[in-house]
Amino acid sequence: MQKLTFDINQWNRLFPFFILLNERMEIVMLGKSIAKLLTIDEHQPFDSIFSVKRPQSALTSFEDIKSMKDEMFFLDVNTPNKIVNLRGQFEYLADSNQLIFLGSPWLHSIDEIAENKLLMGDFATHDASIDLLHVLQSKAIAESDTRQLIHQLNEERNKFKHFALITEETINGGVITDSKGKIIWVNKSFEKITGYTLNESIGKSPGSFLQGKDSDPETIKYLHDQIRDGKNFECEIVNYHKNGNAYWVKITGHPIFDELGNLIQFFALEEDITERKLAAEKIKASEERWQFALEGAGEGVWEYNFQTEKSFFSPQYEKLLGYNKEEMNLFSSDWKKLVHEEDYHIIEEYDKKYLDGQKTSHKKEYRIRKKDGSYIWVLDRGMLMSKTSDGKPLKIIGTHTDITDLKEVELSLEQSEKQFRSLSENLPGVVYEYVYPKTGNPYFKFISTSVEKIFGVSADQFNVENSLLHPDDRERLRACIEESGRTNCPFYFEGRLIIPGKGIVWHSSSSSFSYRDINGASVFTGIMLDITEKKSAEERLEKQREFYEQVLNKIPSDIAVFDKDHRYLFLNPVAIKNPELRQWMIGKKDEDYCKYRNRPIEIMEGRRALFNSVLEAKKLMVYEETLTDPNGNPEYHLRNMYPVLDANGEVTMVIGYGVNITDRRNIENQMRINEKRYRDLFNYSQALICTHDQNGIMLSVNPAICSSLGYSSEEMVGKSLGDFMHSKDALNLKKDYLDVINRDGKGKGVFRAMSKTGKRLYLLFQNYLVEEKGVAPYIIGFSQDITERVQAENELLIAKQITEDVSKAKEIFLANMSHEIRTPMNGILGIANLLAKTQLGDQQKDYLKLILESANNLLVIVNDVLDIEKIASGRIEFEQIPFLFEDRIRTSIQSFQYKVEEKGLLMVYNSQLDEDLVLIGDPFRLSQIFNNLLNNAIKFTKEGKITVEISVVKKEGDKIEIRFSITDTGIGIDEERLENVFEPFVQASTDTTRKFGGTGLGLSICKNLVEMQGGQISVNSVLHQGTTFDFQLPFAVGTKDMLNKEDLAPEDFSNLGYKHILVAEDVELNQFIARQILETWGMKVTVANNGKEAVDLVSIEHFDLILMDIQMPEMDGIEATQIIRKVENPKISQIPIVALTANALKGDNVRYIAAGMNDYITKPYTEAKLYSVISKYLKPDPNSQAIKLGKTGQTPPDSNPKRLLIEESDEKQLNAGDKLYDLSMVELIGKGNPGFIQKMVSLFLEQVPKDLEKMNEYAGNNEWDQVSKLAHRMKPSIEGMGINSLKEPIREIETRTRQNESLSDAVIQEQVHFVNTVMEKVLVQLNNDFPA
Amino acid sequence: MYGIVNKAIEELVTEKFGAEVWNAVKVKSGIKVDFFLSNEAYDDEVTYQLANAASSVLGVELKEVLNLFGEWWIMHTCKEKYGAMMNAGGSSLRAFILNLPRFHDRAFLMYPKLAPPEFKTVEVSEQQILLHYYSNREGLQEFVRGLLQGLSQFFNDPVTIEMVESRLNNNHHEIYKISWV
Repeated sequence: MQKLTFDINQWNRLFPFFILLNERMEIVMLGKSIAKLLTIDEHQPFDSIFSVKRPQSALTSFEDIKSMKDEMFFLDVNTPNKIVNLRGQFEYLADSNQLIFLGSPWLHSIDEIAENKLLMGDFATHDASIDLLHVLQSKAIAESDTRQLIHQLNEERNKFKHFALITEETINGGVITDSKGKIIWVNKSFEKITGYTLNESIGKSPGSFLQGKDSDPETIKYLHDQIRDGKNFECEIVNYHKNGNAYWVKITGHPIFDELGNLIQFFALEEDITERKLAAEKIKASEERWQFALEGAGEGVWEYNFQTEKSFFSPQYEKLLGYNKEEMNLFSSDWKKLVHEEDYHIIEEYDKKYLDGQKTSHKKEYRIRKKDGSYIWVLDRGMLMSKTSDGKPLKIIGTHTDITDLKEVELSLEQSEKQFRSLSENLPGVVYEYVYPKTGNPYFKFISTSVEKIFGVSADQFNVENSLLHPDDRERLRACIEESGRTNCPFYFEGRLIIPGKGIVWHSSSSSFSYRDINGASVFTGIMLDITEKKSAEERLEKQREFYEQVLNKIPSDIAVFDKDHRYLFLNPVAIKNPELRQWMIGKKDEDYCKYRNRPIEIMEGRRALFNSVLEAKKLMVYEETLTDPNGNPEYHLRNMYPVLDANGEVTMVIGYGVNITDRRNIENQMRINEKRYRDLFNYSQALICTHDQNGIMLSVNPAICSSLGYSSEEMVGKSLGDFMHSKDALNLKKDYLDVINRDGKGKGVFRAMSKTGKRLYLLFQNYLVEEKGVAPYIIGFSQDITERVQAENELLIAKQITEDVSKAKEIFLANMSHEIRTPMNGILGIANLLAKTQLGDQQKDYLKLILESANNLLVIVNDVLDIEKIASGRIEFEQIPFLFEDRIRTSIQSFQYKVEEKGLLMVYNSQLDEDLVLIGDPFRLSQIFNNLLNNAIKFTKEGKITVEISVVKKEGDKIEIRFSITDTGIGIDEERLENVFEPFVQASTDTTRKFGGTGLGLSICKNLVEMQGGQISVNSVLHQGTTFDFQLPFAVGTKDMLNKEDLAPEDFSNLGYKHILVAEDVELNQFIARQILETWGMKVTVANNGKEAVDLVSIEHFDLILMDIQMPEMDGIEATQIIRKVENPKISQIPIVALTANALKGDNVRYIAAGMNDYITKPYTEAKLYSVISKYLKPDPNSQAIKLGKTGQTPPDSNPKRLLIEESDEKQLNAGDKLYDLSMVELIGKGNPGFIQKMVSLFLEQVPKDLEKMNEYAGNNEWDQVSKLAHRMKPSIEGMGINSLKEPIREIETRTRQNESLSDAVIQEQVHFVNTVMEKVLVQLNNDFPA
Repeated sequence: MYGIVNKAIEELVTEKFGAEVWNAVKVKSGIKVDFFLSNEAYDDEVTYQLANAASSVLGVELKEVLNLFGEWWIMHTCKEKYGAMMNAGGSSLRAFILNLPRFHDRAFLMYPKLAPPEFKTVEVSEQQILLHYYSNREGLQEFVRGLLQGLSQFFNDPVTIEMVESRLNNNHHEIYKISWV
């Protein structure tokens, strides 16, 4: 037999759950998948893990199993988790005498695979057990489906049952038809209503067996159409029961569509409405009967249905309006069209009330249009006949009765009444009827309502007899009434009424007999008016008349008014004082007056003649009368007469008035006398007097002028002032004189006049502008000839000039002397110092010492002489700057320390002041005074000590006064000389100079310096014992913050390390300074000559910081900064930019910061200042230490740069003498490097002449803008070179020309000239001091 | 296709968009089956019509519907109804995908009315498997991609799936490149 053998891998693939046993029934090997279920030990007995579950008969010995070849075995495997069943069979392997179990796990669900951590791949591909599990799972899913389906079906069935029950049990008949309308189902109610069973109905169309002869064909067609179109339907129709009885049904039906919208069925409900129909018909019949009755009464009957909004009209109604039936039918839907549009609202209103349930009947009158277009008035009466089931009105019925005739009469009456009422109400009076009865009192029968409007009382109030009448007028009224009553004559009365709240009102009442009434009483009809205004107008007129008369009476002229016959109509009291006579005169003539007064008639003849001539000429006539007053003095009267003409130009009256002009006449006489006096003054005055107009044209001159200048009055009047002036003065006549006097109203000064013979006269004038109303303004001038005085003054001026020149010469001499002496002296000192370093004998050393002392003394003498000269000419200025007091004093003391020690003296120093005290004042002058006194003390002391004591005298607020006391134990001063010790050129003893040297100026200088600063100095001395100098000086107390920040600068500026700085600056000198400083600090410097170059450079190279000048050609610093700040690359746009500016005007810094700059430095600047600003923006470089160390190595160990600089500066200041420049700043910057200073000077010498040339050119052309820019450019150099006398002028030139101040050109020209002069001198000095 | 597929579409649409949308999809598809029986075989056309109708009603492209359905099939249908089977399919995404061919081979016999697709895998590297997909059904490429995405989610093992060859490009069958990042 062929043998088929498998290797282990094949066994594993085919039977991955195999178990191999040896004859001892020990497990030899497990298949790969069963091995996942359990772990076994070597030779683990089979029965320790497996138990044979079936066949139960199986014995577990090797032989037993070996013999059971075809048995199916079920094994239980005790895995660590649970028991797993295996199903399979055993096979005996004879070659190896082993048993092998071949099978696979028997699982009950797929879940168990995972539970046993098995995978599908653990089963042999041919093993279907897993598929069996899959099938089981599918079956479970199918069962779940089935359960779900059954549930769903049950739910739907229940829903359907519910619906069917409702349909079945409803009282309405229910029908379901197919889409063609054939019945497929009916409910019980349907069977009951129709009498047909379900079976009888199925398959039929409802119309075919339910409808009959009374079924409305229209409705049948409607139903048919709706069903055909698959639409809803609703209608009422007559149907027939199976037994033949008709009945009404209301049918409501709906189509039923499937999901796709296809019509599948109809469902309809049928409601039996027979009873309702019968009831409606009954009502209709009853209405018809009622209508018939109304028609019989001859009225148009109408009916309106609120639901259908239709109207019905009776034939009588149609007749009423003239329409036939067909025409009337046209209005059935819109009957309201017939109603007059003005009355339309009536029916709208009652319709609404019916609908709102507020009305059940109505009665209204309105107009309706007939067929012929005319309108008739109708009386419309109607009532609600029926309502709908929900209580709304359904139908109203009513009649229309033609009431046109009645209405017209009514309207006509109404019209008349309206007219009367309107008339009486609108009359501006009260209409009334007043009845005089045959017996009894008369009374008002009617009072129109206007009484209220006019008098503010009601007719009833008025009717109460006399109650409103003023008591004083009652009797008068009563008489009037009685008179009219008796005579029937017309009645008129005016009287006062007292109206409550209104006061007195005047009224007039006029009436006349009108008719007799049925009782025979007389009825008067009349009108009452409010005449209050008329009355008050009359009153006003009277008052006005009185007023005018009073005015006329008060006028201080005699006034008389005549008629054309010369009779008096009016006379005022001035004309005739006596009032009785005045009254008598009215209507009289002058002749009557003469007779009355017994005067000759001739007096009046003149007046009479004048009157006649006025009548004739019809215009004003004037004449003068001379009378004599009671004292016999003449009286002058001016008389006027003028006619008053009527519309035709005829004279109606003449008004005459006269004024007493005696006073005026007297004044005129006086004025004539005055004028003569003034003229005499003018003519005979020795002062030069003239008048001229505002343009300088002479109006008048007095004889004195004529005499002085040799011209006649005629030759001068009408000419210009300038014609008589010196030609140069005449040129400025307008500007310097006319404009001034016209503006200020006066002017004074001196001008040069030229006489006719050409002689020049100096005239001192004081002139005034005279402005009077009505007269052109003119100038009155007073002058005095001061020619002689001027000549004398000129001579004095020349003398003064000579003196000044001499003084100037002295000044120049001193300056030269200083320079001339100092230069060789520096040489001597230099050489002497060199000599000192050579090998010298003792005698030589002594000589040398003598040379040094003499030279030093000589320098002191020169400085003292210069100081005393400055003091004498008042040219000393004092600083007001903060400084550390203690620092300064100590420095001074230290500088003398070696001298003190050299002489074997003791120096004692006591100070009460704080070491930190900051004072504000002049530290340099303080040092000068202090040093001088200290120097003296040492000089004059041979042995002993020098004591310096400093104390506070007083302190108030920030003011402090400090006392300095310097005491020595020297030679002392004798009493006699002590008084004069502060005088210049005085020394303590005549041999002092010989013994101790000096000029004798030192103490004088000290005293002056102390006193000029508001202090005092004194001296106490005992001969041979010693001297004490005390001086006190006031200072202001400052704070440390005020100290220049430069003081905070480090000793070594190189700590910022290597940085790349861009210097944007156009002036070469300034470029040089910046480069010099920065390169010394170990930085790299690149220079841009203008803003544009700077902008270009930053995009090419990296810079740590930019120093940016403001004013530069091509592009200024501000614009350049703005451009750089807008660059996108932050490395460029964020470079710190520090402005370098010569501008130190307020607000400039704000402008720079606004432009994007970080900070600014004002030129010229010191190294420390530059450091203090730029160090804010540059981080110190820690690696720069090496450089720092290297540098400090070169510096003297104890040197204090700050201290050193200040001391040098002091020295310079002291030695500067008359130098117009001061190189302290340059030296400070250059750290004393001679090369640097030389370079600076040569740059300055090169640049300045060019600048000056340009400045002169610009100034000559009045190009002030350019001048300003140039001055700005020059400013830093001037300040840097210490040209102090030009600091202010150059600033002034810059700002004034820039601000375009209204300075005359001459002022600027003068400044420019000054700058030129000084600069030229500076150039000469520098050229001398720094020969190329 | 067996009813379980159509049922899954119904569940997907109802769950994600509501019963009304499912009704609309059903009306649109013209399928008049109220209840799909899982183990009943339905014409493939039914499934296609449902997918097309869903695409139209939801306003998304068919391939998106299929993709979504593929994910749903794994994450809901298989997970809920054949969870244990899924677990038995492999202990990792990689093992499961490699087991896919055998999985479908077994299905072939179990569902005689089903014409299940056939898969073949090629292990390119530890990070990449090429899955060959053979089917006589048209237009289910995106469904397969969705299935793979669903599996990726099921095993919480993100992969990128790229269809490198397709019958749409006149190739013989589809090849999906599954890569682990």
